[in-house]
Amino acid sequence: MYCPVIVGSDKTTVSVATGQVEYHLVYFSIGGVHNTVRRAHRGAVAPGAFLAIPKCAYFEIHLIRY
Amino acid sequence: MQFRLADFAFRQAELSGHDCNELLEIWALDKMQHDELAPFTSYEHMHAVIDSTKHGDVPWKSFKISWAGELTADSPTWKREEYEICYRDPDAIIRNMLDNPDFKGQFDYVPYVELDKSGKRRWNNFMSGNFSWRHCMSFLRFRAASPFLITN
Repeated sequence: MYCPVIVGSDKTTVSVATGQVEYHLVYFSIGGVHNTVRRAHRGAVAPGAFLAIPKCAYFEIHLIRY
Repeated sequence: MQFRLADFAFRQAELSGHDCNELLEIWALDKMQHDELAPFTSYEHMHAVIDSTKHGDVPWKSFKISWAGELTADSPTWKREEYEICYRDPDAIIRNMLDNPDFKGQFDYVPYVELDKSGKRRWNNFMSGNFSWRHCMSFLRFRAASPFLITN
């Protein structure tokens, strides 16, 4: 059996009582399932990791560049 | 039968351990007349079966990561902080998907080329694309095997 693994990442905004939180999650899927199934929220796409996104102020980016 | 009973008792009715045992005992008494057994011997047995079910969530794990290079007085804050990354075992996630019986009949095991009556290529699922086809073929070439292997 040949099983392609599809991995992607996207910014996901989660609204919680304390305010909006952004997560950068990595999701996994497999190539075998039909497109209709993958789009139908039937467990063909699953989150696999939450990435850490370092935040820094603009002046810091400036410092790193020069 | 085990699944339906567990689903009803545990998820829908949320029966207490005592009530569940009572139900299983009545069930067992009835089954005893035909020399058979009830679906579960006790609610502990039922819980053990539910817990041993492989299909479901893969547990989350986490590790911490931080900048390992040199730090100077004017290093930016992101180099000084520690970040936590939550993840799940990718192998277990993929295994779970492949084990999922819901995909039956809506799953391709090998790449394919679909043509309509006029001989025009029909693009549909991931496995009907050139990417899967070429990737699979190059993979087979490296393995120096005959393409018939993919019928496995």
